[in-house]
Amino acid sequence: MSKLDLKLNELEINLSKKDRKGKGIVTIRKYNDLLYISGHGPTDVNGKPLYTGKLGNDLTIDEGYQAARLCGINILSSIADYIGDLDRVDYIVKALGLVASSPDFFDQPAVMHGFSDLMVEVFGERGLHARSAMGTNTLPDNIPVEIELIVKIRD
Amino acid sequence: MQNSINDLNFSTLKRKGIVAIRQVGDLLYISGHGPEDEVTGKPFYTGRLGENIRLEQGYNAARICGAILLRALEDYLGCIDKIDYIVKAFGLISSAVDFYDQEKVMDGFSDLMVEVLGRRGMHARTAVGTSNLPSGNIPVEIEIIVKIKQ
Repeated sequence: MSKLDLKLNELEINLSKKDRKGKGIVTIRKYNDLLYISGHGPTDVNGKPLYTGKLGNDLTIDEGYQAARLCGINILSSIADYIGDLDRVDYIVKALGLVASSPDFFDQPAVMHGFSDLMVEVFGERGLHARSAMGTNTLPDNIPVEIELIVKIRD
Repeated sequence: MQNSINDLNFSTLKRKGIVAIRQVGDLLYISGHGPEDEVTGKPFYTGRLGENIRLEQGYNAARICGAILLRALEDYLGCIDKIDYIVKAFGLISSAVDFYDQEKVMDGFSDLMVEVLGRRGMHARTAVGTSNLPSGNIPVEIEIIVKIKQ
């Protein structure tokens, strides 16, 4: 078990194998030592959303926070599937977080903290990242949060 | 590629401060492209998904975005054989608040990449809804990052 697996166990985070590939789409495309990671939602292993709705209408900020954390867990699963060992993550470069929002909801960063807090809990300083959070009127399958990521790995 | 797409006369975007493609080493960052004639700027499709444009039309609009992006790459590289692989696509879909099939719209782009480039066309992807897009209400706008052979 890697150092990171131990840490994840401690945080009671179970990473599951999954495959969301459709035709033409891959979960991760590698360029040199960078991983470009497709947008992930707060879904279960089969891609079924565990959170739906819009912030400001249907979900509280705390629920949005938990949804963003689940996006983060799903992204970690995808990275683990791809490189085998999460200890090979050097650092998180950049995240783009999209938050389905009613027109008068402005706390997108508070929602995205669910993701960013997780990265730092899991990776420590290596989990720090540049980030943009933005509201949008609707997301695929009515998910409240979608996050895409660029990660630097050790080659 | 469809003849109708082949017959269109595309050129790269040239506006103040904007270029269609920026190169960093062997990576190309390609500006957001919509389903519009790059010479006249006239959109082939307009409207919001879930409101006044159907899923199949959205799919076709995304496919045309893909064709235009490939044309921009061909203009820049001389030949699309120089494309090593598509790294990542970001697709914005103009959507009614209760439209949730953005992924199916973006398949129009992704299917075309694989039809044209095979496995090299496979890419990481994010599809999102948004309330409105530029250029006279286009339904889809797509930006991509491409790795080229050097």
